[in-house]
Amino acid sequence: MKNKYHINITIPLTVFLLLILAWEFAPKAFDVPTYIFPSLSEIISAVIKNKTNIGIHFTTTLTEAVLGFVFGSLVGFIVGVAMAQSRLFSNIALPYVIASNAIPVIAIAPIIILWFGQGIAAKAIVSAFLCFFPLVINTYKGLSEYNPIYQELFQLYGATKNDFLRQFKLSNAIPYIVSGLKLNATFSVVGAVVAEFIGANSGLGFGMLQASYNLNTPRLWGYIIISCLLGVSMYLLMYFFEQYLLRHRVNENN
Amino acid sequence: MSLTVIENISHTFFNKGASIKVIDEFSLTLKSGETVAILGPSGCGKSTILRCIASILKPTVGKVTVNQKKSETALKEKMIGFAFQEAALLDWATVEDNILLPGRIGLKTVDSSLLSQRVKELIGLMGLIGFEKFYPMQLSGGMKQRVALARALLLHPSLLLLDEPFGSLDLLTRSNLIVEFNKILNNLNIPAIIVTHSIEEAVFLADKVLILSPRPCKIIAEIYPELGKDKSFDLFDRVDFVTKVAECRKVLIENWSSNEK
Repeated sequence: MKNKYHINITIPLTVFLLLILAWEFAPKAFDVPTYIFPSLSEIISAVIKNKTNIGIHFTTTLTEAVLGFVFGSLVGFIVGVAMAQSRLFSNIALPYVIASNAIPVIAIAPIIILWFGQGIAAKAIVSAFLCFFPLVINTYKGLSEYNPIYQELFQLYGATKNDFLRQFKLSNAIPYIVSGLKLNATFSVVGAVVAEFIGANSGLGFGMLQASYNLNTPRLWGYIIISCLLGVSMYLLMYFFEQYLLRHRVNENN
Repeated sequence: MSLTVIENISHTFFNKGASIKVIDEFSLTLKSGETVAILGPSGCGKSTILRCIASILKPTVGKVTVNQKKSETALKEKMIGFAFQEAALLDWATVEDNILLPGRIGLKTVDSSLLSQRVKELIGLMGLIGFEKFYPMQLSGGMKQRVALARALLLHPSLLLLDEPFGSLDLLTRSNLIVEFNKILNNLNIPAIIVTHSIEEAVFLADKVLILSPRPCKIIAEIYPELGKDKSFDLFDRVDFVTKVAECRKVLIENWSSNEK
């Protein structure tokens, strides 16, 4: 038990603290200039100095990412269900779904901004675009993979295709679907930030761009860390959601 | 009075031009309260017979009627109970909800207040009291199988089909459950067909044991255990029981080797 505690908590935490310390003291020890690699305290003081601005940018990106996450995942889920339920639809849609994932988001973002303007909506759409694919694939896979004995069980009691979907396949697919949501938690932030690079007047990506034009490396790092923390928090939220949904099932990871 | 008539079922699987005949003219008549066990070498098509009877699978030839109704109709009206080798429970549903499942899908044949009363009865009958709100992951293999059997009995089926329902359990759990289940079958008076590869299980539970040949399976012997209705754990050691088991084993082995030659 004690060993497990070290593996799960003590050692990872120690490594984390060492990295923090290294970040703080290594740049000073090796005399690296601030504009090349700032120490952690310089980054933090740059963030505190700009906290009002950063707060506004954070709120913008958060809104875009959450909207993108919700809509992208929702549309992905619906398409995934339709594909799993209809062979014809799956044959029609699959090539486009895969193509959508093959398009680099950096290439499609300018077009979306051209169509939907400089505001939050366009960024949310770019973010949604990135969230679409993982949920289609995971939903489709989750709904298609099950022990055939359950199909016989439902068939035995005259279940319709719809009964089987609602009372078995959807619940059975939850592990796959929440895996998709966990991916999307971070993708949605990446999507929003990338879109802000193309054309925006607010948001963490816009802030990063400004900081880099001004060669304000500590502030740039501040934005990077904040957007990273945003993605990680959304991921953790989905992680706890997953634990909650699967609390009655055998967890294969543990 | 319920009556199941299985007339001349044959089934052939077709795959890319090749065909494999698995069942050859299987017939059986089953009255209320009667239990028939089907014994046969593995892979002979025993499970396929059950699926054809339940009309989950349409037999190539032959017909099945349950209480004068065609088996497709019997299926729609949810007259057939089925327990599989795996418990096949819903992981996300409690014991109660798992047992209730047949009432929640397809046609509504039983009133919901009656259903919840039956669930209570079955939980008592199956020795699951106190476990109503438990989830499958909290249950042992034997408990899961009890839940699966309760689920198969929920709608008081006119025919119960059991596909090696005790096959995945350890010997002691298995013997215990067989003894209990035999009592339940007798009380409910439900005709049952049980497919198994355990000779002891077949002889213990059945009024009639059918022994099948290797594929395509055909009935080669009918053995009547005639051990009375009141069966307890002691039966496993009784001479008449052991003799019947030996008799079945002999037939099985003779036919197995004749096929191997």
